[in-house]
Amino acid sequence: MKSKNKTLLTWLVILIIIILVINLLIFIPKQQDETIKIGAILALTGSIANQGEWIQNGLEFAKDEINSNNGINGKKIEIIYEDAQVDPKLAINSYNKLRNFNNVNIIITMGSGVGIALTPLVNEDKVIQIGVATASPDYSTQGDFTFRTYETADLEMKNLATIMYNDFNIRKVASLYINNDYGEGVKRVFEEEFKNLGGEIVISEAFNVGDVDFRTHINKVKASKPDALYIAPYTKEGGYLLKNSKELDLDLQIFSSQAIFGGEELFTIAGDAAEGLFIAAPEFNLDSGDENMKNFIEQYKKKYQTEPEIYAARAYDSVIVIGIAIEECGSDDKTECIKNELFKIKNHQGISGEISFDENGDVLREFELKIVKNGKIIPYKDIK
Amino acid sequence: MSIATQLLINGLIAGSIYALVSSGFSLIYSVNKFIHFAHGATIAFSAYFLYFLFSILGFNFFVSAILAIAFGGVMGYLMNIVVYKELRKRKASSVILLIASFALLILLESVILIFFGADVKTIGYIKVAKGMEFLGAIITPLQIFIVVTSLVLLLLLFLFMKKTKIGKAMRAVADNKDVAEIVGINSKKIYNYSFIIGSAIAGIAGVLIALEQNLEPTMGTSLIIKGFTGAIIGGIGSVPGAILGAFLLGFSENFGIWYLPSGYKDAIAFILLFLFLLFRPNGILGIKRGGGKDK
Repeated sequence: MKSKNKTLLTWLVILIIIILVINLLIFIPKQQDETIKIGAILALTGSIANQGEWIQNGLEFAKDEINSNNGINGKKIEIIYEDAQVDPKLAINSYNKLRNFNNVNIIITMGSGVGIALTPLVNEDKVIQIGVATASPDYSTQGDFTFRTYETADLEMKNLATIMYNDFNIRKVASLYINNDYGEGVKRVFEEEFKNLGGEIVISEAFNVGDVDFRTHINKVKASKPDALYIAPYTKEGGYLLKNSKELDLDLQIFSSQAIFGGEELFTIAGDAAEGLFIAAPEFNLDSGDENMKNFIEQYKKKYQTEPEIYAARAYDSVIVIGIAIEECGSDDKTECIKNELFKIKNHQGISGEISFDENGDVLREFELKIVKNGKIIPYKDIK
Repeated sequence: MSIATQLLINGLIAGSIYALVSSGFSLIYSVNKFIHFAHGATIAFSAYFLYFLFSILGFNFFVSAILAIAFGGVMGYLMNIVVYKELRKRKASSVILLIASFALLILLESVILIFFGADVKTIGYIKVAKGMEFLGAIITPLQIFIVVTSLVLLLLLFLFMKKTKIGKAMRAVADNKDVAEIVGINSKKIYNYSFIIGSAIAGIAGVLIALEQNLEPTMGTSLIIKGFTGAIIGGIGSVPGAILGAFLLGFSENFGIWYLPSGYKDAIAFILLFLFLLFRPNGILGIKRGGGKDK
């Protein structure tokens, strides 16, 4: 027994030494170099991992561009990634790690639930938070240090409700939404607006993140006899929802909020059940003829062998505007100054559109209805 | 009328999937007397093995499916030999085995993540299409196949446990390991058999679930949660009970959200679990056993 304890003790000591050595190796070089650190809490796995990857591409793209042009005031940018799978609990862990271990003063986050959960922390610590995929209207008014380059759902959902009511003559809508801050937030705006216009919400049902079986949801929609179905899902859940709709022969036009759009994954799961789906989206035109845009597309394609999505463009713009603000303030730890500089940004010509932060730190964008046709998402006006 | 049949069928489909998970899980529990959460990883691995053979290497589908099922069995055997047997040698309690199985589940899911990435994979053997009408309800051929398979499996498993020598020996070990050893049953061998058979059922589950719900690295965790709930409701340690419990869970969820807001789907599952733990802790078919067994 005694010798067993001894070997255990020896192993423990060795383990502690190894951990100490690793810590030293990590810490020493970090303290020596002078970089501007940005933390990025993204969903790199889970329901919207594709969007996370686009955002990461956009951030990396902006970082490389700035660093190859001598950085900001001579300092290079470093982005530290954390995967929080759009889970607020994981996001808080990531935030604490970024704050206490990496001493980050600026974070970029993805997901409404994540953004809202981190808001009290960033306001207390005076850390700048920029939401790059944060739609919930509840994020707007939560404090001075929160910004976003993702358009608030307010505009998107009001536009969608109006188009459905006026252009499609839809009067009765069934609504299915994802049971989190995102789904709750966007469907609330949509339903209020649709009712204001004189329409009726015949049924409003939630489903959970990670659900794959929507059969009874679809049966409930069918039984409520609506004119159309409104959905506010993430990509994966949206895919299964469309798959089950087709299997159960749901013969309705389906209108979705923007987050369903997560690239190939939607089509991998839903197959041609996605055909004819309407998606509310901001205007983002790759062939607008704008010089900056052309350059961006060309370089982006060279780097990632794929066309940029608006998620990448928003992420890119976020790093660029942060860069502008830090340049003015001289250092990334003067967050009070950076915050004020960000509020001063008006009519910045970004790749994702014009960026002007309003008093809530929100941006506005033009709205466009899109449709899925032959496995591609295209503007609805092109086929009308 | 048609709504009731449709809900019944929705419940039957969900129940069959849960039953495929809970039957193997429960078989392993009944013999080994510890909760083998890594059973979820066996399902995920079999599903990804099918994907690897069929979608990447381009094997014939049926060959791939049979190999994937066999793979499940081998994987279960290896988990028992490499991890659990070693722990048992060190006189590990069932709680330690449970924690080890949890660790194994997380480790194996991460292995999938490394090799296949986080995005959803599809087998693509069956295209998404409108289902067939059946007594006023709609069901796809694959879903019928899943329901039939799980019912046939229930029957076969029942016969296996009642009629074959190995089945009888398993029941004996499940009942009382020490007495079984006295009459000459090699309990270590029986542990292996239970892992091979239980995990091969996980392989079948993996193949069918891969076709119906596609593949994700974390699929095992979400499946084992529902399978575990079904097994507890049905009476942990009783394989027919676990299957019944799984179907009851499927029906409750689907009928429940017809009357309640659908956001409560998972809540319904856990309320059911809670009620059973409170009022019938031995489950539907669980037998109250005398003391002196759980040492």
